Amino acid sequence: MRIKDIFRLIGYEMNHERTEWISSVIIQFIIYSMVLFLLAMAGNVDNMFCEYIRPAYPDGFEFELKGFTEKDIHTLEKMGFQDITIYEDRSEGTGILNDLDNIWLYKLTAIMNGRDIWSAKLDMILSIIFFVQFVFGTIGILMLLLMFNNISNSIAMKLDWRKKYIDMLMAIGCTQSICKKIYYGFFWFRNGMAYMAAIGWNSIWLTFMNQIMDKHIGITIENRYTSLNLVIEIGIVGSVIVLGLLLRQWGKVQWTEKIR
Amino acid sequence: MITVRNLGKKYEDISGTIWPVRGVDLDVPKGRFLCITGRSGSGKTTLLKMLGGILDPTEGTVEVEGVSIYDLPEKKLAAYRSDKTGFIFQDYFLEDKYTVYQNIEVATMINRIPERNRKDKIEDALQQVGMLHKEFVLAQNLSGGEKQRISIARAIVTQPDILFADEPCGNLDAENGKEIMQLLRKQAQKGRSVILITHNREDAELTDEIITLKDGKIINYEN
Repeated sequence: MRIKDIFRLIGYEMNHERTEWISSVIIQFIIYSMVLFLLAMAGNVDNMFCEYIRPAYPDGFEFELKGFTEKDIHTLEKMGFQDITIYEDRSEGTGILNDLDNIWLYKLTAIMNGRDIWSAKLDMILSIIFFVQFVFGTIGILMLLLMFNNISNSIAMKLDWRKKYIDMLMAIGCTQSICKKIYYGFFWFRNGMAYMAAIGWNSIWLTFMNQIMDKHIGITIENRYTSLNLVIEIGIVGSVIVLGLLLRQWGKVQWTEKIR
Repeated sequence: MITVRNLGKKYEDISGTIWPVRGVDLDVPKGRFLCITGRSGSGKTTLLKMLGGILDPTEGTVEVEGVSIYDLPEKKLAAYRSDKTGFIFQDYFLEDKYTVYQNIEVATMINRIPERNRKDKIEDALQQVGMLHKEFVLAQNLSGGEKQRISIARAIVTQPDILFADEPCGNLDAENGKEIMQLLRKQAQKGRSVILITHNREDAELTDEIITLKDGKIINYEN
């Protein structure tokens, strides 16, 4: 079948049961927006706390470094540490960070390597950052799984509704692979709409939040969703996931015609 | 010419092995209007699907013009279905939300008919079944008899050599059923092999040859 005709059949499919797929797009948009927002917040909490407490630490945040040697100074510098002092005999030292961005990522990486990065003075703040990031991140990931489940179920329902039509297409000469392409295209466009709307909404919302926060408390957060690269990367991963879910559900359908 | 030798299909079930069709030998020359009849569960539809390249047989061969269709790779088998055969289903399998034109256009897309030729071919097919005036009507607004005519138009738009009709009059009243049978007869007169499934004796007697199936085996030939 010609590519143009595949697109035309996808278009016909979009006209079919429009109410069903529009409601599905709306549900996915809502869940996707919440996922993106929660993940953005989880990634920004450290920065927000950092900006909030910065006035109390005008010289930066001093950390104790355990298990590090002089060989690690370059790595520590890459993390943003300054004024690093390492006592080689005790494998201990101190270093100053200008901000707390990714502090838990650095700490957990250090722990996994049998080291530690900690600040007794910031104990409470760091614990709160971890708690908030953990809660936001966990809810975000759970909602992401919920969304995959929702997409998977909507694909299963669609294939179930269209089974007779797909059987007919195959009976009159369509190969399974063309039929899969038609439905992949359909789901790709459908989920793409929800995804683009959610990215757009988050981008606008985070920009607005930034303006308000900057104006009132002088704190800004990083709005990653204005990055085209990130949008494309998430889009590619999303496309692969939709393909995987479609193939999984396709394999579960008991096609009437056992065509090779 | 369709040549079928020792055709059989086996299913494994919790109750054991089932052979809906077994040991079928059949020759269908061009232009023959053949009817396959038998009681429900006698294997008619299974046999039709195997002839149509839709269902892989467990044993035996189906040759069309000397080519064993089940030895073909998937793409060529699909091309056989698209180029050589046309299917007419009991339930029409029309898309209610598509127009008559769009329903038939789907078959032309699968058949890779260039866009510039489609309109003429679709209108010609509709003309043959007397439905040209309904070209842009939604399928949901058609009666059962009209839907079956459209189903026939969709089957013949690609000008196939063989038409398979699975109980085409099963959902129709006697008058509409008669008209559908006349349309199928016309197709046979044009040189197409028409293979019809029915358990209606009156419809069967309008064909050239009747084959009766029982428990998946041919038990009777009538000319």
